[in-house]
Amino acid sequence: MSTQQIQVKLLRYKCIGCSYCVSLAPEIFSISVSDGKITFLFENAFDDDTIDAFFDSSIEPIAQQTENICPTGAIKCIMHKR
Amino acid sequence: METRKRILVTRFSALGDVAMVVPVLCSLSEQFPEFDIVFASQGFANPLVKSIPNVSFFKVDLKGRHKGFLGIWRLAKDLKKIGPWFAFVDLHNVLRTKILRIFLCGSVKNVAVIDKGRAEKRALTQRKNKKLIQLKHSVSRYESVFNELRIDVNVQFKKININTDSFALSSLEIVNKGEKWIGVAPFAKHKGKMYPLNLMEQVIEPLSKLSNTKVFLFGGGQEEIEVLTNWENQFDNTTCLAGKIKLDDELRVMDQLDVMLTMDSANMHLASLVGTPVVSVWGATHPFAGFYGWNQNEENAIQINDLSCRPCSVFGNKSCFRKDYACMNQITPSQIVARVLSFL
Repeated sequence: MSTQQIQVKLLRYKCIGCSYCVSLAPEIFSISVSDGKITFLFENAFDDDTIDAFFDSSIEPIAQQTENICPTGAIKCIMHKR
Repeated sequence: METRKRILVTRFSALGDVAMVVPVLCSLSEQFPEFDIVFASQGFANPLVKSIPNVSFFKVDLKGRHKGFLGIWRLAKDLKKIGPWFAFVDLHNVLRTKILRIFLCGSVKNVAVIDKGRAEKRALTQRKNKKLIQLKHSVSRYESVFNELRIDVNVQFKKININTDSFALSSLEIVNKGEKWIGVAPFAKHKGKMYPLNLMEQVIEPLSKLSNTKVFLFGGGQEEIEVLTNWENQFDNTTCLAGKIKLDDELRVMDQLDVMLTMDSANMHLASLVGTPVVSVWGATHPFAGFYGWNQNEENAIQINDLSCRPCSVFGNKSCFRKDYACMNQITPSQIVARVLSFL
């Protein structure tokens, strides 16, 4: 049986720290305490240029919304079949 | 035969102030069903009170029959016809209602008048030795006037009842099909209360990009309608409601919004009446003056807190002595967008 997963890529070098993504999906994203840019909630002091993580496909709508609203295109969502 | 006691309540303007009377009238009607309340105001206020039991509306025509000094005399005459009055509750306390009180003298048993707290509001907004403290909310001031008459109404208002059926809305295809709805009312009466339109565009733009989301624009007046129509054409998922629907239908739409973005303006109070969360933007004025949306969370007031000149005005009608309206211009669009998004 195939299951779907969503890969969320954060192109942190593009992030301006507007925090729209955090407002929309506080259960997924946070702002890094190291550099004030986007990171995942479980990586709250991340300071590399890019980061990605896989999530259950149930977060797809909200992840897609954050991709739509990010003013600099720092969030990319890719669906994967397994 | 027992006759019901009639109470005359007056508040002639403006829409926001009239809207703040509604929580008191609703609570009064619920807690004191033995009273017949007649609310005298301008015609625009009728939709706000027509669903409240035991409250009837008296239309005051300030531009026609009830205009000027003679008009006040005619108003008193008209009101006497529908008396006798157990009490006259003056929630406006301006020259017009002061004269009306004199003309009604003798035909009203009890009179109570609002204390607007003008001195404390002056102290809040003066440039030097500003006394930055939370003043009594207007709804509480209205409540106190009834308390003065020993009518111990206790405002426990949540929202007004809205009949959701509307031919106008269905014919405009404004029907919620499970989307998120955001309302934006970008205008205010005075410049000191209005977020600059070029910055407001930067607020609407990202919101309009959200999928499964609609942005509704509220406003009135010809110039406003032009701006909002331009935005409707410029941005996706954005609908201008200004000039297309009446206040009743605006309330119906507001009732279905997930969040409403407003200035310190009437729309903040209207959205509060239907229990919709409001993100409000404050410039020259301050929630401390007592005009914050009823039952709204204080954290949703977006304002610059460390400007020593704020608030400089109770109504936002003074021009900025710094000339730069920093209180508005220093608020970034992203601050507002982030707060709005937190409701979706």
